[in-house]
Amino acid sequence: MNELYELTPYLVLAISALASTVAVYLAIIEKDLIKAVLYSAIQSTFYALIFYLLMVPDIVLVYIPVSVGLLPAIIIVTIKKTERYEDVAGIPKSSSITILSLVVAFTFIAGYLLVLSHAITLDVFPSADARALAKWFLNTTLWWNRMFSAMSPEAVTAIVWDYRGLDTYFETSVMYLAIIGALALARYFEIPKKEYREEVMGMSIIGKTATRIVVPMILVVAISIALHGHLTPGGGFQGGVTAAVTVSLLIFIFSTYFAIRFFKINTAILLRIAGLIGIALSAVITAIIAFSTGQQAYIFQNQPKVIAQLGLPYEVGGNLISGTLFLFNVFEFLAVFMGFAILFLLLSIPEEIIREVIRGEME
Amino acid sequence: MSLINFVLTIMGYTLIGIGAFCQVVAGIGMNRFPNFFVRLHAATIAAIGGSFTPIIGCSLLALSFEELGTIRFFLAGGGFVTAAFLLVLAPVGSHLLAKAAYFSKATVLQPKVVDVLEEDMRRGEVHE
Repeated sequence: MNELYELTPYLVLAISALASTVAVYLAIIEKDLIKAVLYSAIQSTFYALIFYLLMVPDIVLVYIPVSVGLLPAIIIVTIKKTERYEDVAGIPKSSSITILSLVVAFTFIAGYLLVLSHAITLDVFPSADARALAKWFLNTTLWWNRMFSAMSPEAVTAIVWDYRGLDTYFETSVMYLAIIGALALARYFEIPKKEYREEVMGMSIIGKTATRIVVPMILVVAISIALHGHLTPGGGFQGGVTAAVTVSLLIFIFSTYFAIRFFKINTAILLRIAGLIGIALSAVITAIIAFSTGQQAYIFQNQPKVIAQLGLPYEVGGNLISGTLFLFNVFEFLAVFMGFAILFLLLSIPEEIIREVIRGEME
Repeated sequence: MSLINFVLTIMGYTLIGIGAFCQVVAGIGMNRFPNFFVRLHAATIAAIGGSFTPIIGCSLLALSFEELGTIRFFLAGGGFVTAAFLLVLAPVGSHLLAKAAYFSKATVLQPKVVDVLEEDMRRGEVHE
């Protein structure tokens, strides 16, 4: 009886995974789009159950309102404005079989991975004493033994860059790719060359004067958020986003033609690349030093570890800089600031110009 | 408690009290005023009277609270900077809102007593 009780979550997991697969299949072949949305919502419900069983309640809390409530609502509004039924021909039978076989194959692969993880960790579900893990991380965040500490009092930054830097590294890559995509879409568009005239363009003089006062202040705050990233909550990304607010302020309050005096798109791309190269270098700098001196080191290593004795200095002249954390924050600030600046500048290109370019391509 | 600290504490509490009063007044105004522009006036009361004043009050309280040690100067400094930001930005924000609402004709102007901007525009002194 006790064993059966322990098996229950696994059974519920398997059944809800299967049911969600069926729901996906039904959603794909359904011709009535409203019903298809309902099937997709059912699938999301099962996914929420799976997430709950896998002990990620925070994701469940976000997942249920977004994918069961918000997304279907948006899609239903869209359907209401277009057509309720798919065209009569629909998906041909052969392609529906292809879709079904693809779904089945993915289910098998996912099941195989689940079994594999079970075999490796002897447990699909994370251990119930995850609190101990959190305690360990927090205790080793700022502990003046460099062997076990990231030497930063800011738990999030310390954990992100010294324990699982890969996560943020790939996050940065995703943003890099997104902006590359935006640049590729806008490769033929150019911000028209036009002289900025104070009297005609932008908002009223009150708004402009206040912006002139506030923009340097925002920049100072942003830089301090970025440079204090290893001491207080915040960091490169947050500082970069705060600094990017200045670009949008310049665009909205003054004009795009005023903003491009300070932020040329090409210069922004260059600075952003410099920031990304800096991030990549900071990730491997300990390893580079170690290799050139014939020692061992990890990638993303910051402070010395038990079998890799090399570490970056955690203070300069009595000021805590937490080794690579400071470098990461500075370069991330540069990359994010310039990335968002590029996006805002691209978004501010007038619609008529984009239309013209597209029309030119069509002909 | 020294005399200066006593005065600072009293001033801080008074400013916070004024802020609370302003918030209540602004809430009543938001509910009772007839159109967008006078409601915006109530919103600025909330921003300046209800936010700027109590932040200054809190900073003064932090200055007077000696148990905090030197941290109290950081707290008070942060409070004063925030208040300065609010003092600059809240009026500008409401000004731009009002201007945008007026020129886009997105709001109802009635009831109104006097519209100087309209007269100026008719005379050709102000352009959109």
